[in-house]
Amino acid sequence: MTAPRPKSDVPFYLCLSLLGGLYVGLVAALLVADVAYTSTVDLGHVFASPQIRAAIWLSLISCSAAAILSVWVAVPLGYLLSRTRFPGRGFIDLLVDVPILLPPLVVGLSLLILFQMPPGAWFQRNVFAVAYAVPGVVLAQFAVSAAFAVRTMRVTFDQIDPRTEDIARTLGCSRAQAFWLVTLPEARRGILTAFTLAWARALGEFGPILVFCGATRMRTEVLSTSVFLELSIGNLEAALGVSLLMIGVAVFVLVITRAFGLRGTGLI
Amino acid sequence: MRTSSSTMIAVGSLLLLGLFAAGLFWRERQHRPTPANQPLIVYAAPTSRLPLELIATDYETETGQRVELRFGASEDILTKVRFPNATEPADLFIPADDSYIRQAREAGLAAESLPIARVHGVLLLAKTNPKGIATWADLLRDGVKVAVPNPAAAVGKLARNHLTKTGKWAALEPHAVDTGTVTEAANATKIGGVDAAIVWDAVAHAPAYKEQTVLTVPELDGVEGRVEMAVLNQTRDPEAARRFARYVAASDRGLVRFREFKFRVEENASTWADGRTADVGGTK
Repeated sequence: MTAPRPKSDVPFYLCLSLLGGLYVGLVAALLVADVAYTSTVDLGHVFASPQIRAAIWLSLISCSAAAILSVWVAVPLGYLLSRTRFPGRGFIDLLVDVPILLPPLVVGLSLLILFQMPPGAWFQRNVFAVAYAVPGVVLAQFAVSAAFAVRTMRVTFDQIDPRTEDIARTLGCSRAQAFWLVTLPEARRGILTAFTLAWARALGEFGPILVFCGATRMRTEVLSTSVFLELSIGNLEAALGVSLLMIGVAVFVLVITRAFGLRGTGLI
Repeated sequence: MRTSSSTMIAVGSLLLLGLFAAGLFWRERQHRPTPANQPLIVYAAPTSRLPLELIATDYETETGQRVELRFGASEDILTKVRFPNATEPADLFIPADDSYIRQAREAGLAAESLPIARVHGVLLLAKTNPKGIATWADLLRDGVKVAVPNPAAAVGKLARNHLTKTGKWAALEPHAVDTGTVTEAANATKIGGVDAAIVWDAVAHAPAYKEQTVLTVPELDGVEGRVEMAVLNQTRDPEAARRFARYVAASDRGLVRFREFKFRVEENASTWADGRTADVGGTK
């Protein structure tokens, strides 16, 4: 008696590809539609605009600063939420998700109110201006992107076996040394994912920036604000040009980050 | 001693952060006003953006006074005016139409305003007008979609009220697509998502829609609003704020720019020279 012939895996992979392909197809179709509606002349106008060039630089710098700050907050918070039990842990876990759940405009409005209250107003008078200023742009981006970074780092630490850290402690490491020398290098991919996710989220951030920092050309205008400003006067061609530019900038930065961040890990 | 990879990454990220902070500080410092040259802060709706940007440049050239324009949808800028910034209170407010000026007055945020232009409801047709719309009756044909801004936008509210009063809304409603702002309604016609949109004439005549037809129909005759500029009570320099408001509303200064962009400006406005000597009370 011969063993039954294994059934072909083709239908299985075909089903997966079809279902997954629906989404990939949608994203690709969106990009094709955007490219079809705009032209090289429109893109030329976008690059020629000093306001938009200023917005590109501010976007690049503020997104990078917000993403680094997000990782600095996300690593300790993610580790604490993943590896320790303390009173109020469930509440903090929930609180961290609030910026993800809140409508973006509400995040901006809340920041605006916070900096009008006596402590916030004192800070602005005596330290530096935040609302309607560049620090406010970074803060608005950080407020939302850090939530995504924390979530990513928590999952990362959940997936790292705590035994390696325990072994390091049996070999004489303190908890801090075990974290610094063993767990953190193991979390490298997660940190990179948290950084890129936070960076991409910060680039697309619009609502909180508009409410908290306004849309002042050459000052607090980032690329997402440029899209809004062009749309608001019906200049769809320029708005799409800026959108395509945002996609280009995001892809370039993410590819470079991944190339450097994952070098030596054998993952690229 | 060998440095761990974690230490290198941590130090590297802090150095980068320091570099970015220095870059942002330098950039902010370049734009930071000196005490002697505080800019006038104007919250403006994007519908007036093109003339206002030119007027701000003209004013700066003529008087040396800097003007900082901050744009946002009328509801958004009204919200910002409600929460004045401790270090940079706003001076002037120019929303899409006078309904927001009334709200600002009721909230005690502004006491005086100057009329700039009148806006009327018109039909902006889709590019190439594929449905051949030429009259109001054409909007009621099968398959015709008409974008009507949300009632939160003044033109949407006024158009709905007027058409309801004249008994025309019930017939149009099945064809109406509720869009957000007046610009979103106009953009929907540009993309071809709808066949026509009820918008302000000043919006319809903007350069972005120059390839599209604008229809003035008697059915929208009563849909009218005003563009006004309010001097805010929170201003640190009421005299400077009033001076700029007079410049914007002067027939031989700001209104020239508004006229260039097809706004129906106030015909009886005073000139800049007249206005400088006159007391600014504006409309109350």
